Amino acid sequence: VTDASEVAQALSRESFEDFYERAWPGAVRLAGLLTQQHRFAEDLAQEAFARLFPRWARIENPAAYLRTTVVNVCRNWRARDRNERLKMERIDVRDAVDLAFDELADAVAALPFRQRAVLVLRYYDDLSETEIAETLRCRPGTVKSLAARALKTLERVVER
Amino acid sequence: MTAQTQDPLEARLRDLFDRQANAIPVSARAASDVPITGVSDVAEHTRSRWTRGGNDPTGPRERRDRRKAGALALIGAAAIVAVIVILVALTSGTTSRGPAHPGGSTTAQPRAITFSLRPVLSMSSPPCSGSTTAGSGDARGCYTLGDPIVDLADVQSARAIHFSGAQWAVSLQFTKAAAPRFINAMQANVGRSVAFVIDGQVVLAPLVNPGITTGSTTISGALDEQAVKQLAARLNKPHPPRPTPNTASAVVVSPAIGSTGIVAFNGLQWKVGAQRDGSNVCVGVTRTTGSPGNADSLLGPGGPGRCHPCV
Repeated sequence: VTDASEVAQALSRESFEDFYERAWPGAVRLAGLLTQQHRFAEDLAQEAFARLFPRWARIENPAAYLRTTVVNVCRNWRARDRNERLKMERIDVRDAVDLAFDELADAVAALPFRQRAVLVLRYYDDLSETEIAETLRCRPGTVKSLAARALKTLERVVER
Repeated sequence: MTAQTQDPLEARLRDLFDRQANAIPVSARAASDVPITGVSDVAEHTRSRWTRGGNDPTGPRERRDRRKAGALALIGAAAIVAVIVILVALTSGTTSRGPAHPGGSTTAQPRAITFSLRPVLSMSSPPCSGSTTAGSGDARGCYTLGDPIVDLADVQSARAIHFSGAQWAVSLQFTKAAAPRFINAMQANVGRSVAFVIDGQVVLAPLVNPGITTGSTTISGALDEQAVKQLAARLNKPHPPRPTPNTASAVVVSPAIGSTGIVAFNGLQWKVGAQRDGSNVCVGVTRTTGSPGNADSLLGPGGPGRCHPCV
């Protein structure tokens, strides 16, 4: 922490510990929805907080920063795991929710990561297009087209 | 289309995500799980990134490369020791004892450990005389050390990291204030050794490679998993408390049949409703922040609300 405004900001803001406690459940759920696997949701959220922690003093909007970090952590994890993506893991979330034969849940799980991320951020986190664009580090137009593609896919599944 | 017109697909998605989210377990862990350490199988892919700052040979990319990297680290550690042994010079120097900066290492630290990173001025073989610091494990020998470059108070976080097989290391991240000091000192000591002094013993004295440009480093060598984890935990700042699990039992709500109510819990607003369905009573709970109205859809026959026969 170097200059006065940073000091003021650091003092007026909640502590990392408080934020951690408050934002933890939300981060875990977001990670679980993004990856559609609850088995690793806590680890992924933890990873996000671990990345956030060293930068805490400089972060202006912790909630947004956390959201972006969770998305990045989950996205990288998906990319890594693409080869080993198992249907078994997808069933994790479903089993617990009694959605064993929910075609919509299947279709959501099968969407490409960014398309699912847009849906989750829009319908679960209720973010605006601009906020989603900031979170995913893309343009609002991209958000729009990702959402349109995702919904089109899902509509086809639901109407069948 | 945004939230005003609730088309059926949109409503179903909201409902699906809410149900999935509620089904994701958010558990508490033991206090000994250092959050900032965050090493688990799932975090494996990011480990290489954490350690890239130092002179760690682990490549950031391929999973299979990490095995090779582990082997390299082993060879590297052996080479470092060999280099140090070869470079033995019998100069006598003073071993400084004070912290790197005033009030540094001795301020209210619950961490019962002493740690400093010091330049190695010279090294000799045992037995060690009074002015030298003894080394252990891979760093056996007697070291004459310079002033501490960084100490415990400068450690922002410490993590146990796993390369492969039995190769474990502690990754250290220094604070913003200490990072420039660390980087400068590393650049000034390229080609020479620095000693990681823990609890009065030199545990590792690697040769400094050029190209250390970030405020992080790793301690590896003849340390097994347990030793590394303990070391990381002891070097770490006291970690934030684990959040309490999000259990419904933490809130007691008794909505009147046929009505809904709002409760604040876990920093969010939750809508709770109860409804009579034949001889059953169904209770629904949903997050209302931003998407009001969902509680109603949770109620009723066939909905995901919990129904119980009336007593």
